[in-house]
Amino acid sequence: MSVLLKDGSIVLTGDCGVEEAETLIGLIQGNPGALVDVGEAGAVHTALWQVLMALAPKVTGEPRDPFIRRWIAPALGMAADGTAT
Amino acid sequence: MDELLAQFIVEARELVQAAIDDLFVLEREPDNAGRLDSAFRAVHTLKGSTGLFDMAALQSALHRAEDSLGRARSGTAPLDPSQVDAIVAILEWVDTCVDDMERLGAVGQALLSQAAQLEADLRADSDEADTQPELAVRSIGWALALAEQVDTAPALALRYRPHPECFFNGDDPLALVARIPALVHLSVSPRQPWPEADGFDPYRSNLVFEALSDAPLADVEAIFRLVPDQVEIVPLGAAPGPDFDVPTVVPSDTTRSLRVDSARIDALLDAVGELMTTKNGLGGLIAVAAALPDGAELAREIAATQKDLDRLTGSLYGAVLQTRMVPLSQAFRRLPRMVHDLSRRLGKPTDLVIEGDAIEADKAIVDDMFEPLLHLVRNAMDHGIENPAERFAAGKPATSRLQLQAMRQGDQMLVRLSDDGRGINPEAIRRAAIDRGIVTEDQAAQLDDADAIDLLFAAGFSTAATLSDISGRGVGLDAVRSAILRVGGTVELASRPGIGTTMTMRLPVSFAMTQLMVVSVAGERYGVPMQSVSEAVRVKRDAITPIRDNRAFVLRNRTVPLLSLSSLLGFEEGTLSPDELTVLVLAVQDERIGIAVDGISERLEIITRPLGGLLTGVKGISGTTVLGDGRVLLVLDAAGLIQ
Repeated sequence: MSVLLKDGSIVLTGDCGVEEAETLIGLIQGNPGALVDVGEAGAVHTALWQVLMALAPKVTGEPRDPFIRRWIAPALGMAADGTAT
Repeated sequence: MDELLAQFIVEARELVQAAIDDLFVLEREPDNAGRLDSAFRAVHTLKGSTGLFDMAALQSALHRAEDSLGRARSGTAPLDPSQVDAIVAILEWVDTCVDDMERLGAVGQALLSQAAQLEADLRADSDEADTQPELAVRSIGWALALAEQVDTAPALALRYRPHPECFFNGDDPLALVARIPALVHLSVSPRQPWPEADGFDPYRSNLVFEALSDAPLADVEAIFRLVPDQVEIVPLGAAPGPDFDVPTVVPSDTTRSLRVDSARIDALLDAVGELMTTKNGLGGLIAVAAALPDGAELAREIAATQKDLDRLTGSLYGAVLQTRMVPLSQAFRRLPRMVHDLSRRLGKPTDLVIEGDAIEADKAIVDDMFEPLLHLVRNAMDHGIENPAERFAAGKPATSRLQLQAMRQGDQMLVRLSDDGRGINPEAIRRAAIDRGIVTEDQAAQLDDADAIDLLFAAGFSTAATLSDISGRGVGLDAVRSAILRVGGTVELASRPGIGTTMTMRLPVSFAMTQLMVVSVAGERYGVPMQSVSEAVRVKRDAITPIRDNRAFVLRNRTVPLLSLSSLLGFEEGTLSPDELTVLVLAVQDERIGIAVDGISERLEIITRPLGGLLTGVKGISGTTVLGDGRVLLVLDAAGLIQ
């Protein structure tokens, strides 16, 4: 649904479409060191995952989608339990 | 059928074939300007002639193909393999459309609706051409390296490089990847190193997905069907799943290069056959004339006329057979497409080398040979040839070689299919044959290696540990052998473990047609060549005179010795008709001999073949033929019997 800055973290909530990739970049670049929380995210477009891979911010939260948890989370430097490493 | 349409159908098929042949060469030699010109011309002509029949869908798809070839020809956009594939797909689709037109007079709606996708595939490919030259390299090394990432043996490897602009088309690559069933490995990496943060464009995809899965190929292909140009899927040959997509090649039953409807030739051949039967009737007339008082002169003249007729019908028959001769390339030409397709589906890169396809043989033999040959090729690809990993391990080149050679030998031809695969282990065949109850252990132990390998042709034999749909389930080489036997040929197999397997088919180049009279004796049926039968008569038992150990009867004032077929063949003499005997009067050299049989059934015009195997050298039998119902009929050699 949206990409927002909440309490110093960047939070992905619900489904995030391709057009939100730009917002995500802006927030990451504007808040160096901020955690990106994907624990509340639903279906997230490839473009956003690509942003996380390219800019490599710290990512936290346990993704709800088991596919993402199993195969993508490790590529983002996340532990399986969702804590940032 | 409208004559213009009939002409179009013949031409369209030739043009499709010619263009595909050219494209396959271009795939390997992209710089072959001659082939490029020739493919362009064929597609151009084909497009032009579809215009005559108001077939907008065909015309538009061909126009697209012509465009791509034209661009390649002018040097502005070279052809890459995926474009070649897309053009071949269009041409094969046109071929199917032509089949529909021939069969139904129009192209089916379902088929027509495929046009848009085919065109789209080609368009996507051309857009792709300059940005992704690396796709042109069809190496499978990456797939083998990827497979080493896991301990199991996955069914397939997949590499998906989404197009950089794909987000604009609404693609969500990760969503596609997430749909791959039975995923056992996935890695995501950047296509190009990630740029500095400020140079990073979030709307260009820069990802490569590499995955291993145990799912059936067809299921995975279905997921990526809209992005076929961005994905490479390599079956690793471990375990083809139940839904393994079998490429079907429909055996062609139409002769394509004969401009005369082959039914007309067949009618002509039938007429020649009847002419020969009628001509045989002269034999009886000679006998009648000879029996007349002072008839000797007349009999001689009839005999002389018969001789002339013999010569003329013989040469007429030969001439008709000649019109039925077609080059073997008619049976061979679909094979490169099939091997090309199979080698990709099985993940076994294979070069098919064809030699001697200009040799000619009777159309029926060439047609009938196609299906068994297809089966042998599938067999070789599926079972004989190893997958690249196995080949590497055995120190062989990754690309295997399948060689198809034809040679003429007298009135026969040899068609030989050799692969450089793993060969056949005779010991494994012996064990399997015992397991399947085809032979006992003692019998198996006595077989030499060649005979053991020959067990593969036994009914119900299949050695592959996993049956696959490529070469069928259980109906294997026995079907091949019986198909070859039906046209009067033989098929043999030779193999060297680790080196390869060779299948040799020996086939007649043309048919020897024989008129047979079918007789029965002791419950069995035999064929007697009509040319040795002068007539059939009924003889009353009391009209038979014993002469020493023999018997005779009188026919038109001449004494004719009488033999019984049962005793000649070593049966008890039958007592079916106690009062009357059915007797065939055979003219052997100048002698007339009566042969008593139990009954006479039909006359046949059939193809006989010389004896082979156990029956070689059996006296009194000249050959065998397979009847329509599959039974074998022994053909008697009258002269041999009587001596």
